[in-house]
Amino acid sequence: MVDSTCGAILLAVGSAVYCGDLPMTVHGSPKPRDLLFVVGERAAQSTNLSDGELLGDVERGQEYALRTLYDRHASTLLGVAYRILGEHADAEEVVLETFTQAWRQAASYDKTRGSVIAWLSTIARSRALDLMRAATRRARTRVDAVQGVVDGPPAMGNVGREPDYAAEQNERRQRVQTALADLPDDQRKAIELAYYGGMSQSEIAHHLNEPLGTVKTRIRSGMMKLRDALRSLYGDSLA
Amino acid sequence: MSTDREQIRELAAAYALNALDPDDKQRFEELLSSSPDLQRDVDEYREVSGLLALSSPERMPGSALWEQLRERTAGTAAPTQVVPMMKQPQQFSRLAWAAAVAGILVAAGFWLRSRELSQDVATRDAELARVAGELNERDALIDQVLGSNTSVFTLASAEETAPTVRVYWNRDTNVWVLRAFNLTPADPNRTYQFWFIRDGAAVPSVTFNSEADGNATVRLAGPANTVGITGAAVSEEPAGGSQQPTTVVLIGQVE
Repeated sequence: MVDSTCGAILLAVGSAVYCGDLPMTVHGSPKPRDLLFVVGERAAQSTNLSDGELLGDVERGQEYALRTLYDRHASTLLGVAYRILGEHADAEEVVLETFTQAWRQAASYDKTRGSVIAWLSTIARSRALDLMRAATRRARTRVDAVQGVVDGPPAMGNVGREPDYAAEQNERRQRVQTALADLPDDQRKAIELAYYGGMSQSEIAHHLNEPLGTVKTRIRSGMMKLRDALRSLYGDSLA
Repeated sequence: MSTDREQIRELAAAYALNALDPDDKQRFEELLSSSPDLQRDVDEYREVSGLLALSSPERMPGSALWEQLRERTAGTAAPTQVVPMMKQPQQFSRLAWAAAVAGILVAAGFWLRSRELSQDVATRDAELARVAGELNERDALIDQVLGSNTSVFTLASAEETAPTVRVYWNRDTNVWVLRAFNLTPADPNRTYQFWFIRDGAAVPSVTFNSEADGNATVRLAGPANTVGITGAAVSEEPAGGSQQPTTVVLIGQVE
């Protein structure tokens, strides 16, 4: 297991500090009126708020809540989009579109149907795959996306978030990576081709030159194992 | 019939991954609409699918991305107010027309002035928010650097003109702050990467780059387990970082 998930990063140059910050910066850049009424109360407690509570505040137009969710999840979503698209600028556009949609359509989130990060990552993955298809880079990036895992992905930097949250997220990340690594190679590869390559089962079968039934079994078996291994990570978020 | 249903149920995982072919998807959704149990399976597999996002290495968004997001979301939440139109009178005397025109002109003047003031307030709001954000960032940095249990050490090279990186490790919060000097910006297809030295081995951490003046400040959370960490290093790597350092630029020990 690579220990690259250990951190949050903030870049600053000279005397100016830029964003990508840790939780102490959950105040971020709220509007001044929000500074008066929000930062001193709710935003100051934002590190204790769940993703669901923050999304509720996003729905009410509270920018600090969007900022905190951004701090918590932008780097993860960027990682997914980059894995699919292979272009940092395109991946950043996906992150922008994802959080913009979250801002405008927070009310459409149904907490009984899953966690906020699952909702956000579904949006990001969908947008990234749409962009990939539109850019007709499908063949290249699909293979690259999966190859990245087979050969071992490069270690990347992490955007900052609250230390407590970062520790939890690191643990979740390690659990997911371990669960995925524990799958037989053929099951993991089939799932990754579906997730990162956006391929249907028949496309995966064609890509791997395997019978369709074999691919269906691999995906089903692999996902069942992942479900059993990761249930404790999401059990509370489902009704 | 039940066999068909069982076969369709087995497609839940692939459905959550959006990997079903059109025919299978149609059959599945026909059953899904009338099966709460199947919906629960789908919800669970969707959660698993969502967690797969954590299997990718995180990437650092550009420093301007948050501001771009703010610009996109600015003003999109509040609904537009609609002012109802007044019913037009049947006849207007000349005096009434003059009064109406004068009223319109006065209203337009007020509106223009109000608009100017609104824009001025918005500009000041944005500037105040920017400054407040910067102050928060700096406060956060200072808190970490000035912690009572902060280790400070320097990563250096044997070269006289080489860059240096001052490392502040706040052991209470496990937040690390790096301050780089004279670090020539890496080429576009290259990056700098930070490494923890644990039991003599390099553990990969974040990638970063310096600005044109050679300075950079990087803040990161340390690994969950800090036992065995004896030092740190910075290397130059291909864009995206590496699993193992290929060219060590700077290295130092925790003091």
